[in-house]
Formats: sequence, C-alpha cells, structure tokens
Amino acid sequence: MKRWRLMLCATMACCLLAGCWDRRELNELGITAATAIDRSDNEWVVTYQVIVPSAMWSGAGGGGAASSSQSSVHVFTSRGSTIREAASRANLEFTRQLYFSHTDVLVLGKEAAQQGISEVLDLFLRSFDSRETVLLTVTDGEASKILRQLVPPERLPGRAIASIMETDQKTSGLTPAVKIFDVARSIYSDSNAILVPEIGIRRVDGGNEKDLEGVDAFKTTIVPTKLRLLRLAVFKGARLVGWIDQEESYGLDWLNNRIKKTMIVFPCPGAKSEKEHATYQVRASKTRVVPVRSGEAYQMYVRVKTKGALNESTCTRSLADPAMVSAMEKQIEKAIMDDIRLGWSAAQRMHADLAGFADKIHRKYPKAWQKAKQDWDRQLEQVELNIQVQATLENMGMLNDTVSEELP
Amino acid sequence: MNVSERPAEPAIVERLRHRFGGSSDFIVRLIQEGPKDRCQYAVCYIDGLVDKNLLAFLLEAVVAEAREGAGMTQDLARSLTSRIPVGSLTAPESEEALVHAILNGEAVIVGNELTFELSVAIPGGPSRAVEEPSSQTVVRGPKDGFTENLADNVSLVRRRLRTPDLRIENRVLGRYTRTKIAVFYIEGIVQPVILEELGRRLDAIDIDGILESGYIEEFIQDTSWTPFPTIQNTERPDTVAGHLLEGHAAILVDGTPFALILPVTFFKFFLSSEDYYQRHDIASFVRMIRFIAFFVSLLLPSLYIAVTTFQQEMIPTTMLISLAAQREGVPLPALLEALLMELTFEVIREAGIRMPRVIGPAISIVGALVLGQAAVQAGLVSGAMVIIVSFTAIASFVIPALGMSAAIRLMRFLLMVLAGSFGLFGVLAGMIPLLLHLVALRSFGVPYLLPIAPLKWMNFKDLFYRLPWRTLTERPAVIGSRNPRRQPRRGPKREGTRK
Repeated sequence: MKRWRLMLCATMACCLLAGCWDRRELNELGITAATAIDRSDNEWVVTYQVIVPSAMWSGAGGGGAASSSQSSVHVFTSRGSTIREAASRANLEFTRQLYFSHTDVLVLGKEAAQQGISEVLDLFLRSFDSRETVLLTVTDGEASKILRQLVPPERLPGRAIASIMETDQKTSGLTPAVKIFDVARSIYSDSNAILVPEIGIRRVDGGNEKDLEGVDAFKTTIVPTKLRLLRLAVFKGARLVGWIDQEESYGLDWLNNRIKKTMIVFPCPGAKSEKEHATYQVRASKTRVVPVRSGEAYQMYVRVKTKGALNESTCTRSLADPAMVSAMEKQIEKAIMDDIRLGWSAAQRMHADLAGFADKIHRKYPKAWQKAKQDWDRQLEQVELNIQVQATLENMGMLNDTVSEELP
Repeated sequence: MNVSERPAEPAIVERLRHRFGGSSDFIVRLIQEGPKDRCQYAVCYIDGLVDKNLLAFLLEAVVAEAREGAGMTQDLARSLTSRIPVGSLTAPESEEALVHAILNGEAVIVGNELTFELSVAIPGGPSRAVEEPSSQTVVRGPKDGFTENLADNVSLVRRRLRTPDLRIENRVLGRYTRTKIAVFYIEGIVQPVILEELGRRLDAIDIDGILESGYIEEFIQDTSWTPFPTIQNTERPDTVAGHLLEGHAAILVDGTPFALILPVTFFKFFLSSEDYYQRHDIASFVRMIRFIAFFVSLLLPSLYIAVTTFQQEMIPTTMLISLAAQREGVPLPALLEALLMELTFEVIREAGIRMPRVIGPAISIVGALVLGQAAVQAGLVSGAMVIIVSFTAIASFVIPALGMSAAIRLMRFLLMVLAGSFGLFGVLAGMIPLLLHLVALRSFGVPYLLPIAPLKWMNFKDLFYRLPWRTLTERPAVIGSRNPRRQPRRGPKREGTRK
C-alpha cells in the first residue's frame, strides 16, 4: 500500500512538475510549407512560406470550403549568419513558432546553390524537425520569389510545387524528384554529381509575376504567370556548376533506371508522310548498366527492357501485321537509344558523371578505380556506351487500323 | 362464542407475536373447529411473503383436519400432511428456525395438541414477470432475462440445463436481510478447486445486509485494488448456462436480476452470447469490431492529445492543417479541452441514467445541441475534439460488459493526463504499467489475460475469432480442462456433404 502511494506521488509529481514543458499547441505553430534559401552579403536569407490554417479551412465559423478572401500562406524572410540563426530571428517579426516538420519543398536560390549547400544539408540531416525527404529544387535567381507565387487551384503552394515534381516523375519521367537525402548521398558517392530540377516563373502574354502573389489568382481560369519545371541544375558535390535541359535529363533518367512510366513518340515504320507518328506508353522498364574495362578506357553496356502499349498512332499500315509490330518496336528502340545518347553527351559536356557510372566501376573494378578516380571527370569523355534496347509492344489498344482517309 | 369460552391459543403463537413485535404484516389465523377445547390450530405467516391462492388451499385443509380429524391425535401430523395439497413440508425444530421459516414465505401451522410445528412453503408476493434484459440486449437469441425472484431465476437456468449434474447450492447471507443466494455449477465440469475457494470466500462474508449481487462480488473478488472487474455479471440466463458448460460457476442472488459468473478472464468481457448464435464469420467480425472499439475507447483521446500537442510531425500535412484551423482561437490547451469535453459527456451520461424518464428528451437536446454544436460555433472547443469525444463515447458502449467499459473510462482519463504531460511517451508510460497490472491480476486464481498470458493456443479458437461450432471440440483450457471434450472431434458425416 505504501509502495503504491509512493508511486502515485511520483507519477503526480512527474505530471505536475514537468508542466508540459515542451508542449506546442497547434494554434501556436507556424507550419512551414516551403522554405527558400538565398545568399546575399555573406548572410543566409531564409524565406518561409507559413500556412495560415484559418484560410485553408474555415471550420470555426461554420460553412464549408475556405473563403478565398484570405491568402492561405504567409511569406516572410529573415537573415542570419547560419540558417538556424535566421530562423530564430524570424520570431522578431512573426507571431508563431516556426515548425519545419511538414515542409515539403526547399527552393535554393542560384547564388546559394553556386556557393555550396553543405550547411543546408547539415541542417536538414541534423535537426529533429526538418526531414531529409524534403524535395529540393533550384531557381535561376532569387528563391524567395518562388515562394511568393500561388499555384491555383491548389491552396497550398509549397505542397503544390512538391506535387508537380512528384507527379511528373511518376507519369512522364522528364525530371527527377530529388530529395535532400539524395543530394547528401551523391556527395558521398563516387560519381559526386546529381541533377536537381529548376523551377521558374513562366510568363504568358506578358504577365507580371506579381499577378500570382495575390488571392485574385484564384478568381480567373487562366493565370498570366505560372510556376513551371524548367531546366535541370547540375550539382557537383554540393555546388551548382551548370544547367542541362529536360530532353538531356530524360536520357539520363533512362541510364539511371528512374523511368517508371513515360511516353515515347516515334515515326511510323515506312511512313509516307511526316505526319505519321505513334506514341508508345512505357508501363514498365528496367535498365541495367554494366561497365567493361578495356585497357584504360571503359565501355558501359547499357541494357534497357521496356514493356508498354501503343497509345496513339496515325500509321497507315495495318497493325494486324506482326512484321509491322516488330518494325514499330525497332523504331521505339531507336528513339530510346537516341534519348540516352543525348543525355550522356550532355553529361560529358558538363564533365559530371550524372549517370552514376563511377560507382558501378568502383564496385566491379575496385583496384582499377583507385587509379581512374584521379581524373574521372576528364575520362568521362572517353567512356563509350554500348546500348541495347529491347522494347516490347504488348498492346495495340482497341483499334488496329487508324482512322484516316488515306487508308488503302 | 364469547371471549371467556375461547380456548387458549397455542403458547408458541404468543411467543411469535412477541418476537415480531406486533408488526402489522405478521398474521396469525386461528382455526377453531370441532369439539371445544380439543383442537385448535393457528396458521402464522407474513402477509405479502406467501401466495394468497396457496394459502387458501392450506387453510381449507387445516380447517377440514380440525373438523374431521378428531380423536386421532397421535396421527395428526400425518393426516395433516396428507391433506395439505401444496408446498414442501418441514418441521422446524427450534423457535428460531420457525421464525426464519415464516420470514422465508412459509406458513407455519401450530396446534395446541401438536407436539411439533409444521411449516409449509408457499412463497409468493409481488414479483416482476420475466422480461427482456435491459442491460444486455441481443438481436438473435433468447429474450428472457433474470428477475428479482430467485426461484424464477433458478428455473430459467434449470430449464436450459436439464441435467442432474447441474448443482444448485443455496446459502443465506446477511444477518438482517437473510438473502438467499444460489451457487450454480455443473458437477464433472467445474474445477473443484474453484468451488472450494468460492465456498471459503462466501463463508467469510458476515454482513448485516446483501441487497444486490454487487455486495457479494466485492467480497469474493481477488483484489479490490483494480478498476477491472474480475467477476462478470449478467442478466441473461443463456449466458449463465453457456458459462456453466465451460466450467465456470455462477451465483444468483435473491432480489436482483444480476447473476455473477466466475472465474472470468479479460477477454470474456468482450464476448456476447449472441456471438455463439450468429454465423461464425459475422460473429467474428463483430467481435473484432469490439476489440477495435476497446482500443479506441481507451486510447483515442490520449493519442489525439499527444499527437496534436507534442508529436505533430506524425500527422499528415493536410490533416494537420485542418486540425490547426479548427484550433484557431480555441482558448484552452488541448488537454484541458479534452478533459472538459469528456467530463461533460460523463455528466450527460450520468444524467441520462438518473433523470426521470419523462424529461429524457430535454437532456438530449441540451446535450447534443448546446454542448456539441454551440460549443464549437462559439469557438470554445474545436470540432475535431467533439468528434473524438463522441466517437470515444460511442466506442465505449460497444463493449458488452458495463463493468469493463467503466474501467476503460477510468483508465482513459489517466492516459489523457499522461498524454497531455509527456505526449506519446506518456501514453506508453501509462500503457506499460496497465499491461503489467493486467498480467498480474487473477480471478479465483485464474490469470486474467488467460489465453495470451499464459499462452494457450487452444483458446484462440474462440477469442478474437470464433471458429464454427463444429471445430470447437474442446472446452477452453484451464477453466474447462477438467472435462475437456465438448463434442467428438470429428463431426458426424452428413449426407450430401462434399468432402
């Protein structure tokens, strides 16, 4: 009995003395949806996109959807010699405690990216409330501008930017969605290079970027400016070294086995006119890369296997003919091969091992790699690709002959 | 006949009158027939404890005996016995026994030439008809429930177990109430150890009154230092019969429809007798719903508090935003908000039970509209909290045993305070001692978490999932292990059944 009473006292004391010291009520949190990091005058300039919950969901007053009279996010900036210092200074002007666990995207300004982002990586991997699964994107200019843009019809711009990247990777594979963790991993890998998508503001009809900064953007069907994924930034180590375009990145995605679903447009076999094109939808694909050493040079055996369906075709020859199907498969294989070569030549131009060949060579020829790694970036130019693509056309869709007046 | 001619009453009648202190319901009916001074009978009983019709038969017989039985004094007892058409006859030996017989609803026949007293059991008096039990209802299954009358209740059980092995042991407890209690068990199935222990614990009870089986429950349970019931109570005779067949013992108490079943394990409180009447797949689904409801009822408010005030990173972003939006402008911290709402619910619940039936609708309007909707609209509590509290409340009613859901309610408050102070760590810090406590608990020596700790795989056939009856060939281990076989292991081959 006495023991019980003692335990009860101890528990009570624990509850009362602790006093909920690290309690954070939801309405005291500034939930940050996106963060932007810039560099200016040797200081970190951190911009936060903080969610305004009451604008997102108006429950207290009754009624259903949120009213569009209030912006759903609040954007502001603070400076400091470290990123955390900047964050702690944010409360000089912001009412709530900044909370980074739900940050979806990190936008890097060009200057910050060029100076190196080791500090950023350290922060995201070290602190408890920021996650390494945050998606990384770079912008050519000031990152804070990106956070000021709304993305109609999504109410949460930070989440929307992340969704654009994730959806694109899943459906078309044009740009890879890169997490903080991926960048950190690339720094420690032998290839030491990674692509990070660039986000930018695209103007339509002479639109002004200010147009997307107000809630009025929600009231029109077309907005004059839009956030869009543009080029890809090449990071060597933690530093931005250059840009490549989306077509090149697409080829590199094939090499990196990152393609899940994509579309391939190819000319019809034996086409009579330029107009005859078909679209192949890749449903499953696998790329294997095996390095083969010959003397000092390396040759990469790239084996691609894809399965997919015909999505669209204006080919006049009947698809009922098996020879036509295998001819189409040849065309698809050629298109993929061209994409891969284009991507690899971009990597060679940048002197960045964006396909991760270095790690494969290191694994297969550990001793030879010790020598090769001295000037690997220069040797990249000597690396030759031996590409074999095996594309399978599994499904022609519900139509054999296309709908056309030129049909025989 | 004038007063002076009146022969003296039997001496014992005077003593009985004195003993009952002239209580108005103590009736002495004098019967004077036949030759003067020769024979006189008195029938003593308590009005309201005897059956009026049977009493009439009895009086008729006594009158006839008095009129015709002259001269056969030595055989008077026998002839009276053969004349009285009803009730069991006893001859109480002491005056004290006579008094108790009268108080038990027997009519006592005394005569001044009788050398002993005869007691005829003709119990009666007001009693409720057998109705559907109000606390444990079923959709499919018998609808009869125990009443306040022990004799009726005994017959309800006996009718379900027509075996000479069903043993009913009567006892009288309570110095003033002299409450009859009956211990039920099936000889050959029940563990004798449990019966012995039960007898020992019942013997130890010495109290002035037993008004409900709850008194006995508290006296004979293994420990009072637990919120969890270690003895089950039920209003359903089929539940009692089912448990007797599994090797449990039951106690029925006169004056209450609630029978006690013992020993009982934690998981028994989540089973309903309907589980055995419905198809096994449906019954099992419902049973799993109950176990989920148990966790919801125990943990939902504390998890909500922990996650919204400490571990916000665990909530999906969109959900966090909508929760945060609802909390905008709510003046109280989440813990206080939850405690306040839970307290409000408890008050409404208690009011719903205590208030007169006629003003019931008033309470529901005030409860639902004013405290739910209006509180949210006024911004005093968040909408999410109202949902959490109401779901918790509803979930707690899914558990068939009221005693268990009360225990869970109590634990819920404790966990909420811990969650509000330490977050998920607090919830864990509360759950671990709770589990330790449950593991240590015993009901008549049977481990409380029986088929899980200690592990008895055999009992899993009828635990979270109830397998079809044809596969339930054995009684549950431990409690029913004295006579384990319930049906032959291989069911009879049926015509037309595909192998």
